[in-house]
Amino acid sequence: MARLRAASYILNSMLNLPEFKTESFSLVFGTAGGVPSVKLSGNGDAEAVSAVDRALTQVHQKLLAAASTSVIVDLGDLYFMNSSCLKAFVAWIYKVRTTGNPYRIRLQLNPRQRWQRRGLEPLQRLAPAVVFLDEIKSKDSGPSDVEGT
Amino acid sequence: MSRSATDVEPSAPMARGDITCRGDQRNVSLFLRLAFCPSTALVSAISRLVSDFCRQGLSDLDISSRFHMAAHELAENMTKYSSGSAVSLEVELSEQAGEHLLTLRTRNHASPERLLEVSQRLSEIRAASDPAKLYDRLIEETAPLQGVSGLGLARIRAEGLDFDYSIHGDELTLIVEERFSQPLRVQS
Repeated sequence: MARLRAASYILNSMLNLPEFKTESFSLVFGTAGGVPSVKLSGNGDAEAVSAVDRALTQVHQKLLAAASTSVIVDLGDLYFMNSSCLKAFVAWIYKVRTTGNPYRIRLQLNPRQRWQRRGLEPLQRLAPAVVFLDEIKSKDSGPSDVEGT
Repeated sequence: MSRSATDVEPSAPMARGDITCRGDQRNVSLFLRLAFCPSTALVSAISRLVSDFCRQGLSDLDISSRFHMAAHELAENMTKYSSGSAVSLEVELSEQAGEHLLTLRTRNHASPERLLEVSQRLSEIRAASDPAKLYDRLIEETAPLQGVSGLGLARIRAEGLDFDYSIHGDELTLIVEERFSQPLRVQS
């Protein structure tokens, strides 16, 4: 019962986090199969860096407060991430790795976005017990790598 | 005649023919030069243009993807660190000794302090025998630091692209290259 209440608390507090949307990038919170999730879409360039950094810091605080065990990061429609956005992920993963009770970060990759596996594998190497790379199996929709990457 | 923020100089008249570089003759199939005022707003457009250029010349999407990334990182660095009002980026598809060569070249002016700092970093990246290992080390070192990235140049090399640089006076030139043997989509 207590676990259910905690799960409910996480989901509600995640859904209350503010979304970030611009013409070329968006970051929204939600749930996927009862697990808290963050979805990044579009172009993760210099204009997205502070939003990504801020959002990941907030997510970390929420998940720690609720003693969550995992979070999903949906990157299926993200067609690029620059090194500054990657650094925001590095800082987040480092905090999770060094916390007493780390949760799992499941990065969902779109195999059509060729940069993703290449660009995100170093994050897994940074914390193999924390970061998991899951390929989305049937991702027919969304931007293809025609967008550039 | 006024110039726009971004002047695109398309492949003609330099699209075909022999040019000399580093003492070697090579046959250039496609060439593009951009001269622009350093601006964050232009970075994504420029990297997409480089990606489109690569797709025009070759069918390997993996190479296009890596050059898109490299162009983005280099163009972003120029907007952050250039001390001049104009920078340039060139991309070239050529053939040399039976191999195809895709080259990305950027030029910008920078302060002596910046040149000193970047030359130390570039020297380490260029000399790395295991670029992925170096990249992992830099990630680990910068992970606890707030607001510091410094990963872009190491990322380019870690993702499998050859890397070189030169400094003449206050001008920094960065060169990223990939050699490949697949047939081109355009004829030399």
